Amino acid sequence: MVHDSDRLSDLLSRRKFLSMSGTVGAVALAGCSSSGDDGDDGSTDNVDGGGDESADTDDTGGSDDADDGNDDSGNDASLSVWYSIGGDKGDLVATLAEEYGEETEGVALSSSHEGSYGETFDATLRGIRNNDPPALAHLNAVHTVPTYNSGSFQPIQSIIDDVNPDDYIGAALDYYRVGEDNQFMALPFNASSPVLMYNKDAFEEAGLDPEGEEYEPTFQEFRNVCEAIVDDAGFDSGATWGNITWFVENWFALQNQPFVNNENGRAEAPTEVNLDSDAAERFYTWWMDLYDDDLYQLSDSWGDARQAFVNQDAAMLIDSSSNIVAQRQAAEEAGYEMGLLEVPSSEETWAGALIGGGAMFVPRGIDDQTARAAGEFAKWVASPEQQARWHQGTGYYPVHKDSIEILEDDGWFEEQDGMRLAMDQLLDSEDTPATRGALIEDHGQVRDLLSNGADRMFDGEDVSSVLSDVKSDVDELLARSA
Amino acid sequence: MSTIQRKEIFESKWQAALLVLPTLTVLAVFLYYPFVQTIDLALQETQLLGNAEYVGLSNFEQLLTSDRYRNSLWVTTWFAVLTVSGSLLVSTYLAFLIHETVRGSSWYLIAAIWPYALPMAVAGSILNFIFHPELGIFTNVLEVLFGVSLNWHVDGTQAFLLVSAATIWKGIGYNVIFLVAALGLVPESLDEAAKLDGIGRTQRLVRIYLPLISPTLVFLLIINSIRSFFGGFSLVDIMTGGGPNEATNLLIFNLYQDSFTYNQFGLGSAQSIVLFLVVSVLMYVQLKKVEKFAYYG
Repeated sequence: MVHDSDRLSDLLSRRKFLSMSGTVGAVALAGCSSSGDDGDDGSTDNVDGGGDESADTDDTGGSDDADDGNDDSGNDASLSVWYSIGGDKGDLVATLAEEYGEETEGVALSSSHEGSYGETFDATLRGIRNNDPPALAHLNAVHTVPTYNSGSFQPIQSIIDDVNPDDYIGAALDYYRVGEDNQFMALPFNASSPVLMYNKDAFEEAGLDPEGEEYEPTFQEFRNVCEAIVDDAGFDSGATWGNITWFVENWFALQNQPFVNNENGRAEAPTEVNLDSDAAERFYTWWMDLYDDDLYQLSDSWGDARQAFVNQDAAMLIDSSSNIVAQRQAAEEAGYEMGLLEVPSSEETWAGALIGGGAMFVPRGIDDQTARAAGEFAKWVASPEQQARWHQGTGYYPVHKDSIEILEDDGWFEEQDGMRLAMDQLLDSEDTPATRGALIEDHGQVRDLLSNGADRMFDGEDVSSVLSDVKSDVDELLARSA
Repeated sequence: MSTIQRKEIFESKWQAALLVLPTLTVLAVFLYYPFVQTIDLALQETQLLGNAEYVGLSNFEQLLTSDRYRNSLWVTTWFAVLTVSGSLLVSTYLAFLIHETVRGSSWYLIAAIWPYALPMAVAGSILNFIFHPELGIFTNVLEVLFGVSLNWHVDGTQAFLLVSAATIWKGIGYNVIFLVAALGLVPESLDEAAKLDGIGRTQRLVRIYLPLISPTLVFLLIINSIRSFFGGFSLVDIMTGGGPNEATNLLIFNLYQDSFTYNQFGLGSAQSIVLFLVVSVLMYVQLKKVEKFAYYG
């Protein structure tokens, strides 16, 4: 008996070892896949510091090499581009890169999808540490400060000094301006802002104007619409969106309230988050009241919110404009028509929408020729033609002003109902510190603290006391990184 | 034992050393060296690009004064208590039932082991769908039949219980394999005698089987405890992301997040040392104290 059980445990310990290594493998797998299916996930996205990336990493690790056959010409600048968009949109990025590689002489271009924004940023940092950075890294707007402060990225403006900043849509470019000389660190590629998508059929059933022409983008009006939809159209809830701090920051911008002090972190490193402002109190109270009265359905992630909108559990969805094209298609398949409206704000002010999305960053540690080639590629994907194409394929706003003309000539805005309105939301934005968006070193972590705070409010805690708790946590974090 | 003659297998110590060298090298490269490096890193504050400065014990100080970390310690302790006891109880009872079953016991065994064969990441994704507060099949059944509405995307306690239950479920298969084997080693004559004396099923389990399989139970207790500290990661990462409001923020997840999402490698290293110490002490106590209750014949 003794003997047997000893042998058994010998055997067990070997098995144990095997199973432990199996567990390690599973953990590793989980690490990969969490940003796969859940790439849309609000919390994951917050963690990644990503603003609004969607349909993110279905094909993690997929690498789209476009450098076949070019390697033999020794004088080519070898250009590696790491990007952060997956799924169908990612395929479009790969196509763009491939075309550029083919039509440009003297450049051997290879592009690879490194995962979410956060993962691409990590990969780029690793590359820099190992003296093997990519020529161009496609990162999120929130990476502007970390890239600048690290000193390991070169402001792209210093490389492509021949461009005229006025050619680009102000709101899209200005986010990336940082430092004393106010240079732009990166050239925007994919710009988006929160938009309100709605179910036209539901509006009609609720006795509202299906074209939304009577709709005023105010908190009170939005609430009224929700009530009508629940009471008269028989929906479970009026609206849904994920607990994603990027949306919250947008509500700061809409109300012309900088998110953090020191001119939203643009004059110098911020030391305080403005959660004690009236704008914050107004917005959070409105949000929680909607939730308490079952007018708003809380979604855990981007994907959940979209699903609830497609399932017609909710008749309105606040989402990134980058998802307009995909969402409209999903609505069509579900058998209803989708329209676009403005995200509501308080009555007092409407300052403008907040930009999100990504841009092309150039690391240091690559030779000048490669850096110039990288800059040229960044310029090319931000060119009027490519941006018009990119916009039509995804819903991301074009970042180049001339794209709008191309799209107009194409009849795109007549064809795509509401898209003009979404664009105007951005074009009409006032240029204030609030609408430029916040520059924060640990932006991702700040976003997580806020979404945790919102969780507490949903769980029934008092709005003001949670806001002051979260403020002190964020302020402590800001003090640490300052 | 002392009467057995020790036989020299190797002609020289050098030969022996040479033969263990490959193993030692692997251990040194992948275990000892990273461990020393972790200690070194834990004493530094790291910047984004790995440039760091020594800050003494300030990382540990930051941990001990952090509400988030204390909450994480608390959550992990509860998680360990709940999953280890739950998993052992359920799997012992299941294993006993399987052991008692005359016909088709191997099918039951396979059924019990099956969840263990599922990769954690897959299990987490499936559970996510089944238990989704709005869209989940199970949630819907619960609501229709019992009027209970699951809301674990908001309610921290529910999220914690769900992740714990999923961990217990996931661990059953592993425990059952060992327990069924151990139960099979108990002499049938003992069981027969008890049955002849008219002892009931539960009594036989408690009075006869449990004492005799205690070595296996101790082994499983230790393995399960280690797992509860290191293993909850996948489910948390996939299902809750540590939320809502950090109700499922296990130490291992907190560590991962600080190191790899917030790029604070120093702080993360300090946490892995704390975790290592906690588990080491726990193992020591368990081996010293609980071992006494194990009956080795």
